[in-house]
Amino acid sequence: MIPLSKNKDDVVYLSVNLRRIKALVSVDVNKNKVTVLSCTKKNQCLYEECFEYCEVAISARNYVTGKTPKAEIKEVGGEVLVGIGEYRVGVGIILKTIGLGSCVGVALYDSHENVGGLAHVMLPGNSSNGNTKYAGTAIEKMLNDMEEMGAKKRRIVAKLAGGAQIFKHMTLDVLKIGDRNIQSIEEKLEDEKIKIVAKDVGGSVGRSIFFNTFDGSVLVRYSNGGEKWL
Amino acid sequence: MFDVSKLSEMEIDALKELGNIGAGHAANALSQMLGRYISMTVPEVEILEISKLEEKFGEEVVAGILTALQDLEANNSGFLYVMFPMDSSKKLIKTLCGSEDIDEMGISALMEVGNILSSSFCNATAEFLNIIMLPSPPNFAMDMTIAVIDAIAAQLAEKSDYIILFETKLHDGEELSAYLVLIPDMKFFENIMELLRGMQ
Repeated sequence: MIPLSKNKDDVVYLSVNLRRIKALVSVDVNKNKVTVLSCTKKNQCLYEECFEYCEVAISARNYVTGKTPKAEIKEVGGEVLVGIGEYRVGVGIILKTIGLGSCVGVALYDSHENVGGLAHVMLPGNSSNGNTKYAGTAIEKMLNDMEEMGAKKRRIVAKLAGGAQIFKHMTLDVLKIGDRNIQSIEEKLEDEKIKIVAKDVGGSVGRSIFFNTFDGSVLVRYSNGGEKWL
Repeated sequence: MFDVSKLSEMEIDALKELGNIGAGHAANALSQMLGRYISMTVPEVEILEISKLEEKFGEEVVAGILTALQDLEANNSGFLYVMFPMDSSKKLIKTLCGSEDIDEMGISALMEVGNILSSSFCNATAEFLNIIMLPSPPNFAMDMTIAVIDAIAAQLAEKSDYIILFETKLHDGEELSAYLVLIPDMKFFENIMELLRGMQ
């Protein structure tokens, strides 16, 4: 039996690489139940919905029960939810933030040390009292924390998602904050000489983000059911 | 500066009463429009940290109609947010337009319902407080609750870490439900509290 780093709910998160399919699954160890959080093959899959006899699910279950799985499997640590206007950093965990409308998710990653950070930025500009709701302040603090965990600034790259314009019919200008958020974040990252390697911003659909600090991949899940890997 | 995290029991009750009056009128308007009996829950008043909004609302997709409230000098004083869960949205559209499709027509119908609900809510609370509150034309969005609400939260977040939610559920038996959320900004909230204290 492979020792698993269980969290309190006895759920393990696995990243599965099966042939050309890349998936992120959670396994409830007690019930032996596999939930596919995301899968690169979802749209071309034979089965319309994920179910337990899918090869990905079987591999994940085999891994948990100690059998040799067909797929290449890496265990990722627990899942941490990043609240609105907050940021979190960690090594080998999944950072998640949900319901990004005009807010922007900023994922920073040092692939050498597997140190990642995710911020849920609400407002453009900087805060005078260190409040992480603001783009500049959040990025600055997150960079400091990551460097304390062993990351090197020159290796850190960024991925962005969010900043949508959710309202279809709009009469209030104050709601157009998404673009300003993105602009502010891009300026701050440029000042800090951090390269943006991927972004999925703008549009009119809300997003949730899963940031896998094991390999730096970012899954963007849209409120209309669509998905995109960054 | 008014500390919202330290409201007394009495003050919360007064706020609830205010929400109750507004929601009662909104329920009445909805009932007249649909020709059905609409009941409502006792309003909840919640003082929420903005960073905890995610835990409260989750990832459910809703149809939301947002109006901004202004006083006579065009100062922004808060937002009123009417939400219909997806199945309720479809039922509403079906009742009003005949088909379940969420198309231009359907969205327009939903916006109208939201508009009527928020106007009657506004009217009733303004009359009760003896103030003037002018609702803006409705803004419409269909998305995750938080994604819809975050632009408003961002507005309020510049001044405060907390937002105040009045939440009421309107429903007819089990079929239809709507949520009314009033998000006053700090100044408006202080005004409300002052007016309510004066009445007691």
